[in-house]
Amino acid sequence: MSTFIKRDLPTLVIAIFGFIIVAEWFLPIKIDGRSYLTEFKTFLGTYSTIMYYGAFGIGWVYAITSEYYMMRRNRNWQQYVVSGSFFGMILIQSFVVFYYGFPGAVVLPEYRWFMLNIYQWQAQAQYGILFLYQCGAVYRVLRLRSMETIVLSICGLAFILRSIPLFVATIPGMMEFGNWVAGAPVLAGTRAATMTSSLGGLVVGLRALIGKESTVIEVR
Amino acid sequence: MKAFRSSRSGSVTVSALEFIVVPAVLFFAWVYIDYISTTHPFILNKGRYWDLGFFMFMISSILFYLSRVAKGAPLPKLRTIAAIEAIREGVGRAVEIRKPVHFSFGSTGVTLTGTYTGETLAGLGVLGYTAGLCAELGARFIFHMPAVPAAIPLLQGTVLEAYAKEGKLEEFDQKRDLRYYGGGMMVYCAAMASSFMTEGVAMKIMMGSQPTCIYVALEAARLQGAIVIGGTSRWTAMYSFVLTCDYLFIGEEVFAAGAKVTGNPFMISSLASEELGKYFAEALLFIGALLMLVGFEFIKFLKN
Repeated sequence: MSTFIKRDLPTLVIAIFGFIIVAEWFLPIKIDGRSYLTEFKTFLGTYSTIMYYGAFGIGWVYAITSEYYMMRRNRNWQQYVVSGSFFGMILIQSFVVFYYGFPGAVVLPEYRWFMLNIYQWQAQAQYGILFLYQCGAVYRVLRLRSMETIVLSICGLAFILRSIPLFVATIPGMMEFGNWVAGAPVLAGTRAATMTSSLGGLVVGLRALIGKESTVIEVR
Repeated sequence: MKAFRSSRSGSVTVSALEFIVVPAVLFFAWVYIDYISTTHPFILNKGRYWDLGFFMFMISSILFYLSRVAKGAPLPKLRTIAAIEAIREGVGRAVEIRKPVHFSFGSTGVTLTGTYTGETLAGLGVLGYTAGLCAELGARFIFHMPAVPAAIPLLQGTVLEAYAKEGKLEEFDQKRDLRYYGGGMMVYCAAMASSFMTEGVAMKIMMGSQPTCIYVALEAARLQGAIVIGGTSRWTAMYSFVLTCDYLFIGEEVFAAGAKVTGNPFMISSLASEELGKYFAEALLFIGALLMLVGFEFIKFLKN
């Protein structure tokens, strides 16, 4: 395949459509009361959505093949249970979807039973593990090992204690100190990080629009 | 002015004249747009001329620096980011202890539209760099793809291209090491944690803007003794990276990392325009603070 089709043409298409969408934000061009730029942007958005959902087919194939290869790699009973459940659920879901149609399938009592009694509880268990990990991570970071961690620990502690009424009532100035931590250094840092990240995002976006973003240009 | 110092000679590469003339021209263009939008509101959407001024300023400065690269002007010097150095160290460790390098963006960390698209593009640079290093040094590279099917060709292409550049395309087993788990954040977390425990992990890299699954992915890797590297430009997700990572890309460093690891002179030079944007924002802050002190409603003026 020529480099024009692989590299130059997609870049050109991205640039043209990208700048049309940018122009729509600034220019209120209306002919006979109709804003053609806005209509074109909506039109592009519709086709993007169609293409996006078309890509789910690729994901479906990947999920099936990944599970199959995982089953081949780990030949033990635990993996067979997981993979068997996966393929079994796909078969059941496919039957339900093809039999009842998509909107009907997701409101079926069987589907809802699975979601409420199996999937939801598994997700809750994962969230439980997540909070355990979170506590471990916070403890590790807030240990007093250097000047930075001492400052971080004091500020973190002040912010936590300021949220607990018992400590606010018993320690004078706790509310004021906690509020100062949240309102002065944290807020300033937040704004600085947000501004610099936004500028970085803008530069990368503009670079992609003018075709100088090498990460998205295929060279093979 | 550090960003404008030459990497080759150490001299300042932007002369004072250029530094004054370019913003001055842009400023007068901006004033003209302001005039047009006031007198002919049908030409420009009301209330967006400041946006256009800033947009013009940024795109002009990017084009200015790109033109300098095309003329062979020296590149701006980027400071060393510790996390990038650590990636090479981690890949070397993976070769020594014979455990794989894991890379992920989070279950929905790859966004192809909206605010975080830039972060995705920058993350692709780091992905390609890591995959290339693994190919070069002979470490196994496992990529846990996000639950964003539309991004699969892009991500797959980045990894394969990195291996192809090293001439080792046949060494990457796609069926084994390019994994997709479908939708569901917790499914993704469980699958990754399982992979760490069964296959081992020498280094775990995670880029992306999703906060919740970071703990499970990165803490599980840490418990397995991995070097953990990560970062995001999304401020609300930053805290979880701070808590779990050994080396961190803080905010805009994600974008700088993308440019630095690719080594593309156009990408590196365009970062200098971001510096200009920062100076612009700092000037606005300073002027605004002064004007607010004397009683002028600067924020209201900007909004109008």
